[in-house]
Amino acid sequence: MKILLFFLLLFGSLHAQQWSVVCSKKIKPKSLAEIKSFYLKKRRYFEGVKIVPINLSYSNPARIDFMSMVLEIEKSRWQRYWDKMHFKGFDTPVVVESVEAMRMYLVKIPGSIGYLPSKMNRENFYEIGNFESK
Amino acid sequence: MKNYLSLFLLLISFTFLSAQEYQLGRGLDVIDQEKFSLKLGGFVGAKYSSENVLSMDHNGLMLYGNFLEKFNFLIEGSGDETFSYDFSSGESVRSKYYLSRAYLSYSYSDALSFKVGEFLTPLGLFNVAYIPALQWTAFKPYVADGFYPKIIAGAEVSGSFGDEQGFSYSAFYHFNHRYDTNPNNVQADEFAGAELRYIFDYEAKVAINFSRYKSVQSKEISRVGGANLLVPFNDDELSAEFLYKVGQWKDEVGSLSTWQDYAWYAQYVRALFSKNYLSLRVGQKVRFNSSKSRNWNDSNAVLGYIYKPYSALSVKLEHRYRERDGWNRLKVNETLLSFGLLF
Repeated sequence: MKILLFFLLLFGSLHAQQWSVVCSKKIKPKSLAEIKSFYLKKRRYFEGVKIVPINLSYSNPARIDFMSMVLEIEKSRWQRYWDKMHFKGFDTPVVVESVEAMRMYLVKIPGSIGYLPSKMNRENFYEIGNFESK
Repeated sequence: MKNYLSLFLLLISFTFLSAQEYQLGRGLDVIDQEKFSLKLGGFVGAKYSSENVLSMDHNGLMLYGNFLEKFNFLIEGSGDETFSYDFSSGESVRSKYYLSRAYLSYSYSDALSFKVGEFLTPLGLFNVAYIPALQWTAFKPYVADGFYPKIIAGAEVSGSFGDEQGFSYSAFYHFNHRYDTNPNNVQADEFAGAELRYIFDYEAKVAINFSRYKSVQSKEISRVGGANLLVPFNDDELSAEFLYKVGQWKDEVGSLSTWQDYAWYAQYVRALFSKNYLSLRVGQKVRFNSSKSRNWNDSNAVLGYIYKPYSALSVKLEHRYRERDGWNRLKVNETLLSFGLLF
């Protein structure tokens, strides 16, 4: 049993991918707590620039890992939070289907914030932190 | 019937026109452009009571959006118990829809936003999220019982400071009941108040509030103070509210009557397993009159089971035990089956 568990963990870690939380160079947040408040739209501006948080869709495992490791929010609670916000007239963060679409948003929109695989070229972005996802 | 059909056709046509994929509880993108966005959403609810009455709960349609980055607007038409049918007597009752919210807001910064128009009084937990889909129980807590006007026709200043932890505030002034386009619970000529909150996680908060209003119908002047608390634990949630009101009323002869009301509730929601929750709420409302013969003490306990197949859809089965001492004594057991949907 222990050997099986060891191989499962080894296999899992071999397939884990490093992701970077990045934003356009117009904004330079200092902490992951700030990222959390941007994604919840509790803070909507950074030094006068409007923040545009971007998420991948739930079909991408990185979305779930980003929420649990960076935002530290369970999916059910996240959804209930946005139910209330919808009633208050606030829209959820933008959702894109692919990493490439995420990258395009980050390049084109000042104040945008998202996450990309760390192996991607990130020289046009400001990097805030990292997380692992399969 | 014609109205419902045209509304349904309108929604369907928007669905086809929308470029974005629709997600339940998030509204439909009618226009989604950088400088202007427009969203259509709404909510519906229905309940069936152990007294054999089927009724629509609060339901409505809302249209909201954003323009020029800093401006937001929202227009909502809604109605409460717009239809009910009593299976025992065969009687049905209908009531009207009305313009319940219509406002424009300007966000200067995170710390300073302005809102003008008609909107929900930004006090407490229940009043700002009172629709069936956002509540854990269909039975309303006592704090929803006319402590202050639930809707304002006026202006608000609000803002927040800090990230994960910090303060947020709202202060408002209600101009005049003549601007009300809805059957507000209290028609007030003047109504002013403020709430200060300390947020210690993204949703967890403690808050205190104060308000004062002058009612048109009863010529009363009331001062209300309150506190509320919301603490999520993973998927569980603890919430509590307290309100204390001192009212004064001058009759036609000129003699002054005073009374004091206080009400509170504490509610715990426990996630049993995925999509299934159990809630328990206990609460009380007490009145002290200057004529002591009419003092009373109303208390209740609500035990509920909630099934949420989607976060925006809930089916609830709940039982309430209510007991009232003093003037107008009663003891009631009631059961409700209800659903709430946000779209």
